[in-house]
Amino acid sequence: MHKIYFLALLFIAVSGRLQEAGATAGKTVPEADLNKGANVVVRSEETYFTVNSAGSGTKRIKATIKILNSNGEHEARLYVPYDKLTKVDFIKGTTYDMLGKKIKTIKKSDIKDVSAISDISLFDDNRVKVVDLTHSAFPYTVEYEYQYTTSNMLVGYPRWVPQDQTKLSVESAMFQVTMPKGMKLRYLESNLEKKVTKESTATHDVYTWRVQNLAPLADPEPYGPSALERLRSVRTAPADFEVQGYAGNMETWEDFGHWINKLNAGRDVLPEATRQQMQALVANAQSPEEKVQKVYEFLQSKTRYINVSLGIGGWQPFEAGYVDAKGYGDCKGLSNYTKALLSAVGVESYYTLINAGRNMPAMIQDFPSSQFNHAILCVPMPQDTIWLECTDQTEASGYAGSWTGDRHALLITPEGGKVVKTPTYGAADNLQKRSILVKLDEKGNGLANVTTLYTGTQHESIKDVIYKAKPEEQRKWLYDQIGLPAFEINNFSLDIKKSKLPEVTEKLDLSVAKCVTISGKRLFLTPNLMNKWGHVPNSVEDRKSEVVSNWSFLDVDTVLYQLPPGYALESKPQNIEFKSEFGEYKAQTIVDGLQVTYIRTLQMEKGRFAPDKYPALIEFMNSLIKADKQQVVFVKNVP
Amino acid sequence: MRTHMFTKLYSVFFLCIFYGLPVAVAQEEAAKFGKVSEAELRMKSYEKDTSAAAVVLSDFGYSYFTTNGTLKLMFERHTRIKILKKSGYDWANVELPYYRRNADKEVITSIKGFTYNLENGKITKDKLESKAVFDEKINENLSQKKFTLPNVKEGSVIEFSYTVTSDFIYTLNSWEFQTTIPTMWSEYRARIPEYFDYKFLQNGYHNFYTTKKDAAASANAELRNEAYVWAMKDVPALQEEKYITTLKDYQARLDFELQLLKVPGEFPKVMTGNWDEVIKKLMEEERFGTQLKRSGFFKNEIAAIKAKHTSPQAQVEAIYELVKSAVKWNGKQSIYTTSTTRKAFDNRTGNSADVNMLLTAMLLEADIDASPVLLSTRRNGRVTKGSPLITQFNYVIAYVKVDEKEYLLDATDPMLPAGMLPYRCLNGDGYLINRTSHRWVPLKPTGNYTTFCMGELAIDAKGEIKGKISESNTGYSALSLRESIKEEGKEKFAEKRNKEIGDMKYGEPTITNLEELDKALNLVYEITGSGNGQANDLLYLNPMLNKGEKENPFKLAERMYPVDFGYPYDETFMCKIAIPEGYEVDETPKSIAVSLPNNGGKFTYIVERRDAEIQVMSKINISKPLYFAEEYPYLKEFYNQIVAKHAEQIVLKKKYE
Repeated sequence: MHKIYFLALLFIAVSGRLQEAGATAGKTVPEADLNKGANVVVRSEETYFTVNSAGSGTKRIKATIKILNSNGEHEARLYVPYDKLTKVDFIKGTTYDMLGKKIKTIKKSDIKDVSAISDISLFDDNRVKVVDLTHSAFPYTVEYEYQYTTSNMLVGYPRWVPQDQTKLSVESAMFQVTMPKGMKLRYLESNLEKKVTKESTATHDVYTWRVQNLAPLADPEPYGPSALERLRSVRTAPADFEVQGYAGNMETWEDFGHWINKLNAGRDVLPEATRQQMQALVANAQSPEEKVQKVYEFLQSKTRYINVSLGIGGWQPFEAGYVDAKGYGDCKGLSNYTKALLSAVGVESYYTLINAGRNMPAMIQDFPSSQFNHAILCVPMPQDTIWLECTDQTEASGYAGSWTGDRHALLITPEGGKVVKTPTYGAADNLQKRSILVKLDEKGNGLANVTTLYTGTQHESIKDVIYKAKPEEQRKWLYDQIGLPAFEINNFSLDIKKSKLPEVTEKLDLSVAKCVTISGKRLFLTPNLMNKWGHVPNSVEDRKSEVVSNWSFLDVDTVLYQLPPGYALESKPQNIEFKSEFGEYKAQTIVDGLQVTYIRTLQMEKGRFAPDKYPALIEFMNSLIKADKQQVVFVKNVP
Repeated sequence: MRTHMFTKLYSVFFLCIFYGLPVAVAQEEAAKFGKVSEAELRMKSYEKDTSAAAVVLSDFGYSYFTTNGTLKLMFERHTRIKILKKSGYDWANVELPYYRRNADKEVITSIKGFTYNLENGKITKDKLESKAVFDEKINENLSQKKFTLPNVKEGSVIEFSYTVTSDFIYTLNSWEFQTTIPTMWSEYRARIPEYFDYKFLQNGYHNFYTTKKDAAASANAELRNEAYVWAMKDVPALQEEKYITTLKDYQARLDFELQLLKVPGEFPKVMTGNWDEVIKKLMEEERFGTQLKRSGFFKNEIAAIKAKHTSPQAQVEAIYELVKSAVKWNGKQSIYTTSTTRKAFDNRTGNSADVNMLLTAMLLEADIDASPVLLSTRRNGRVTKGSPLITQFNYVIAYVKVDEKEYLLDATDPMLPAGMLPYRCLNGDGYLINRTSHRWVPLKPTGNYTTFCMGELAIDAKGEIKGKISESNTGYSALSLRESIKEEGKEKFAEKRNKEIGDMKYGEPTITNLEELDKALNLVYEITGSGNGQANDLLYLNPMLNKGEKENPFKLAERMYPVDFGYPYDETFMCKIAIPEGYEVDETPKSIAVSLPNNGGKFTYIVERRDAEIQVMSKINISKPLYFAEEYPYLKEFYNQIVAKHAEQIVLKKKYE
């Protein structure tokens, strides 16, 4: 399992209420329509961010929010996160009923202070102050104001998203950043009607953004792009910044990399014994690749993932010596440690920052800023680059997959940061190749021998089962996964071959009850035994957003049936073949006496398409469902 | 072998309460801290469960009391775990929660920990550093100590020990003999002063290896103690299954409830004692019994209801509807009101006790025979009937008796019709209490999960299907459907159902009786199926119209725990198919009837031909909410038969005259 470490998301959440957000930026409307389709109306919200120095900033939010019904109640609860580097200065809050009568004003004792250690951490310093301003009779209005001061200016610069969820309208919202004269503010505006206004005083530069009368966002559309890219937002970032005495500049990726180098400097010293151990380990290695392989295996046997991040520790790795002594660390610590191990055997590698996870938003390359949640290691080789995931004790060396593959990352080199692309896995890399032999008896029950090869992203979930689950649990998992109506697993085996493109071979020996349906004189056979497409998204009238398909795989199924004696063919499906921008499908059924051979190929391709392609996507998937349901019919031979 | 034993043991509920303990001699004993054997380090797998990722070698707990000025409850624990695989590494991450309430608190001290490895034949030892023990304040009352042991690898043995000093002298925490990895030895000792009269409750399906009770020699002359020992050997791992209440119900565990406090020179104080005492106390409780007497704030509402409805039955229903609309359940479960029912009424929101104590109080005000019923929800686990343990209940509902008819009412769900309990409450028995009497009452489902689906369709020569489906839902089926319609909104729900899947197209349903809770919830919609575009000599059609059971819900070969559905199922599907002009029936599926043993359920599938029409009926009836593990194979085969039958097709052929 992979683990991530940065908690920058928590800070984004402060700037607004980052929930499931809609797909399209809402329309601006006359004031009267703000209640329509809304649970919450933001009457006014003012976000002030004042940069005190390169190493300190103060954020203040003042808001008046009307809660229309119980579905909007979450907006009357305030969560103000903080940590060792961030101090909450004050929180005030008042609730008014529908007539404007004051119901309650929070006292100090109403502010609950709770731990917010993330699930992946053993320990960190994240805490949240929670204030409940809810009332039971709707509508009501809450008014609050809070302020915090942070000395973590790596992530302290806010992202402003005035409308971050559906069923929320905004009467007026404002975002203002105040910079001391001479300090530069960098910002990136998205989907805004009105750009920044900039004013200057003798001592400060003031940047202001405003939005007004925003109707609730439309519901997200299926197969749409990530909500974040469609919302109105302003990202901000520093030029010069400082965290705990580590000063840097973020204007270029190169400079950002220099800052990381500063943070990591001197933390890669290994105990002499370990250095020697590494040199002995690779003494007989024939190639640099083999050295990397050996060192990676050593890492996987010696260490495990434990995240403890306090203060700057959220961004700075544990020292290599510490990881060596304790046998654990987080992604930063383990990547830095592996870098040191490789360096001991003369292999150069680069600490790399990345935004890990499935289908993550793309890195905004032209806005250098803290956009990462994970660290991995990049080992350039004469032939090909090897990517190492150092938090996983079972991963194959060099495989990035859906976790860190096919995206941009920041390589930290001695010359500073460099943006690189991790390996892309195409449809043919993500293979599921299955062949089945089914012997049918006269009752229609079948014995099926199934051999399936999974590679690339298609091997990932089964890989976890191989390493995490006991044989008994693996059997349970298989029972859950196999989509046959009624069957028993007589035998199974799962074998994994670790390589740059890992492979799993799954062998199943199944008894399938009523594999074909025999009623009266007929035998009905649906030749697609184990890989029927079943999913189709809802239709959408007047599709607005682009169609994003993340499917990228190749499935090849070959099924051979041996029928019981005494039957003759009555009807057989036509061979089917179709193709669209989303993928390509072929199915062929060959009947030779009592032997039926079925061959199906489905290749899906990732892509982004115009909104009007959506009906074609639905049609494609419905064609898959139809084609996969086709049947062959046999009748009993008349004696 | 292990599985076999499980099937046997888990097939019956086994829960016993005991006071006197038989004396047995312990042949094993708990590990001594720091003395790890080479054999433990050489161990490659656990022979009784060779696939275990880690195994608890020894878990030892000891509770006793000290009197240094004030009485304190001490708890010492020492745990040793063998890590067998990488997937067992998480067992080296330890969390120790501790509490405080007002001035009373628990304090954890003397945390020690070591990791042992065998390196080149030598035992190496890594110490847990005290600065690596973190203290997390989760909230005002709850904190925890967290640490991870260093240098953990496949084959490591880890151990840790700690001491808890507690001011909560009346709360002896449960001891868990079983966890999600196997446990070779688990031993709990308690030295309990004679002042404390505890009841011991054993839960789960695993027997004690040792139990012992002695009058213990005490270091302190003032304090005479009873010394108890409970131990289990070779406890298998606890495993999750589908269709269960909560895994907690199946865990080998010992719970404690303080019954009597006998401080010298004072009258014995009943701590939980007998039901009479317990109920009396509860009825005097400010946040329970007292709330039943508070009626001033709703006198007008009740008077209005009494004026409008004359029959007590109608009055009950009106009051029930009033509470459902007046107070919204906040999702919290408790037998105690948040503050007062009046406040809940004014704020229009409250926990399960606020809602249902208010309901009971209103019913009483209307002179209806009503009482609160305490219960434990399915997630909270099974109740013990032998002794009056109030802490095991987490929910309260109302009981009413009208014209000799008894009902249980829960006003937390606006979609619930009067007399029906939500799924969460269907958990054995509840305890009915009022000032004069108290008794157990069964928390039975009053309805089934009932669906009735009727399709009428025509097929033409091209294989095109056109027709209409009417779905009628009652009981738990109506409840769950009403809840999802409410959550999604009626329009959205209907819109989503308007969908094309493969060659079938489903129209937008007309929904009726959404608000009429006592009536069936109906959905009516059009259905069309595309044919192959040409006239066919033969037409094949599955009459279940995609509504059949496609996969057996019971796939696994064996079952450890009972299958607990909560309520019975009743699913009927009927379909009339008009035969197109010029075609005749060539074949239809055969009618069958399959039954589960002991009237446990029945599946009927009937095909009838009538002139130009075929009528198919499928009826699945699961008549019990609970099936024991022995019955599992039958249940599985039952569904196999259903799935097979539902796959069968009708064949029509062109007439040649």
